[in-house]
Amino acid sequence: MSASGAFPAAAGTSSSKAGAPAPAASGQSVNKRLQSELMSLMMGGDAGISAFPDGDNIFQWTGTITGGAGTVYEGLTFKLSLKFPTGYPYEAPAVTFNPPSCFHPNVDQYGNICLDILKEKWSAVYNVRTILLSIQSLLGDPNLDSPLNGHAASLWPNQADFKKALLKHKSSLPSGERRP
Amino acid sequence: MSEAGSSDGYDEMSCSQEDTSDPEEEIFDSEPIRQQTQTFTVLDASECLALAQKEVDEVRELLCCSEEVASILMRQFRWNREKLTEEYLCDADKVLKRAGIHQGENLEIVHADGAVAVGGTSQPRGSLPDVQCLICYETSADYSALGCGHQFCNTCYTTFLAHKITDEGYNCVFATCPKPECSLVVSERLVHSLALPADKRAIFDKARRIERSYVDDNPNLKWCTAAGCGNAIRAPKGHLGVKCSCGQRFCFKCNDEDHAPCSCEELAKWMVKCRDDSETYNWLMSNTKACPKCATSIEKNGGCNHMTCKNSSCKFEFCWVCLGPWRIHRAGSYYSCNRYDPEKEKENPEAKKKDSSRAALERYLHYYTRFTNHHNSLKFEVEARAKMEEKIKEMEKQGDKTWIDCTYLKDANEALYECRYALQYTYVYAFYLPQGGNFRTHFEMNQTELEQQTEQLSEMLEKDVSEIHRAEVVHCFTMAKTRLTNLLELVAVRGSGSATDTSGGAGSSSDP
Ligand SMILES: [Zn+2]
Ligand SMILES: [Zn+2]
Ligand SMILES: [Zn+2]
Ligand SMILES: [Zn+2]
Ligand SMILES: [Zn+2]
Ligand SMILES: [Zn+2]
Ligand SMILES: [Zn+2]
Ligand SMILES: [Zn+2]
Ligand SMILES: [Zn+2]
Ligand SMILES: [Zn+2]
Ligand SMILES: [Zn+2]
Ligand SMILES: [Zn+2]
Repeated sequence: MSASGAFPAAAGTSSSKAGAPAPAASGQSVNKRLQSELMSLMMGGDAGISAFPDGDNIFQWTGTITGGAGTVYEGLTFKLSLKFPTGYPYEAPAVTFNPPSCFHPNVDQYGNICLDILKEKWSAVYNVRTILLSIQSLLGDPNLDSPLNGHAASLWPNQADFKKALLKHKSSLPSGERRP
Repeated sequence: MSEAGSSDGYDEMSCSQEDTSDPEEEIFDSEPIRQQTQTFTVLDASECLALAQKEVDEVRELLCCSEEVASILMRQFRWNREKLTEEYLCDADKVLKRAGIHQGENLEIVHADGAVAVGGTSQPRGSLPDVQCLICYETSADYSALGCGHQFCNTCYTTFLAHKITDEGYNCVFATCPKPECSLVVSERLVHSLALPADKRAIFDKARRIERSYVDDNPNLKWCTAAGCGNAIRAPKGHLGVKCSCGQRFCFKCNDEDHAPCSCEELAKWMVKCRDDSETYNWLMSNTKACPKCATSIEKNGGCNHMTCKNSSCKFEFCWVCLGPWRIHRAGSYYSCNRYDPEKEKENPEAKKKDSSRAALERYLHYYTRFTNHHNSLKFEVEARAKMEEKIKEMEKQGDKTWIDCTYLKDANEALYECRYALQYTYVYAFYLPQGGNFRTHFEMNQTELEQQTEQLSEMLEKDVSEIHRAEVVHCFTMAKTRLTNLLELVAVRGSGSATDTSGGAGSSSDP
């Protein structure tokens, strides 16, 4: 829907209004927020999650999550790619398993994740930490109603079979999950 | 009348279909042209507002709530009053919460006129304690909150709203507090207190207008697609061609331009196809072609397809569409440049050499050239209308005719436009029509008749004022309209499935 065409261009705003945005500085504010997230992630020390920018590009990160204790994913680590749009945090980052090594009912063969907070339920209050924690919790608690991987969803009720398929899937990927 | 053909809005014909009687006599016995009962109506903005207001008022009384709450609830329930009242009577709190209406203590923080209102009580600006914003992680005393009390700095709140408005259009009225799980809908007061660009605020205000959402959510109503018109059309769901009082024609189903007699799906397929092949056929869009005999450059400046070379030593008469001699188009009294005849193509020794993909391309080209030709002619027809106004004034000056007497020329131009408009889409329809069969024969016969009549009318209206005869023109455009109605009704009958001689539906022919 395009509604903007019918209206006159933005006029000067009254001084009694609050919070004039600085469009030129928006890239700067995204940068600032991501830097601040990076700091708190490094200080926070959450178990089983970590993330760091790829090289000099602050808009592209690699995250790592380890399966939670007591789940079939326990002890397994997975890498994720996080790409931040210029509209971040008002727009969600694109998060995928990369390499696509995660055998899970809500993850497709390309590593795309079906998780509401990354889509329609995204909030500017969420951040890299909450995303990684949500994905970590999704691993052990999948949504079986609308799976992206039907095979994984059908195996899920039998955890022993699921574990076998999960390990087979993970080892079949050439890049594996060995830490550098 | 039958509905599917969407011939509604076209005048019913009173003229006999026989084209033999003397036009000068016939004008006196022909009935006045009647307006057909339309299956769609045009509503102006105030009528839309009145309809929406009536719904809101009823809900307000029924639920004993404020007008604002009634508006929000109706918007949220997509104007389904029954569903709203049923759920409201069952669990009012749940409905109010889901609709994002604040209940309980008011913790709102908004800025206005140099002061800040906290829960409705005004304080001097800058009197708030510092808090850390959950979005930018900065600490400041300059923040806002909805009734829920979830605070965000004004810069972040403004950017948040700007994104909602830009990214979600009119759905920005459903924007909720940025805090996850908080369902409180963003209030107009908050939006107006923040320094949003004026264009963004205008979109939000428009989005909030009850008639806007009333029309957008009602399957039987649609805004006119003309920029800045503001009228709405009421029609049955699935209805195709409608015409607004501003003159805009569009398809009620797909919002694209009116495309009778072809279906929305056929139009969409056709548009994709034309985009893909457009590079190759760009030359067809041009208004200039070389005379097939002497190569003098000929510019098409009228809607008529009958061209005469301007080179005085040539004066070759030809058809603009196929560049063939005009006289062969008149053979058997039919203007016949509409039929794609594969047999005729085969006789052409050149065609024999061509492979099947080339043949498919040529088949497409045949329909495309005719579609484009009528499409381009429409532009000239619009210009012709302006000229016609001048002509009418000219005739008035001559003294022997009054304005009322001359309005038939306007009717004639309107008819010409309608016929040409439909003709372009008859070629899209024909392209997707299965080869062979009685229906195709019938259709092409009707198409030829309409095309011939349209060209005749176009030619007649190109004449000098002194050469225009009222009776001739009235006869000609009445005939053209009859033929248009016939064609659209033929298509409607096929569409409704009652035609027995149709084998296979539209679009079942192999797409080249
Ligand atoms: Zn999904
Ligand atoms: Zn007649
Ligand atoms: Zn902030
Ligand atoms: Zn955005
Ligand atoms: Zn809230
Ligand atoms: Zn306003
Ligand atoms: Zn209109
Ligand atoms: Zn349509
Ligand atoms: Zn010539
Ligand atoms: Zn002509
Ligand atoms: Zn022709
Ligand atoms: Zn021809």
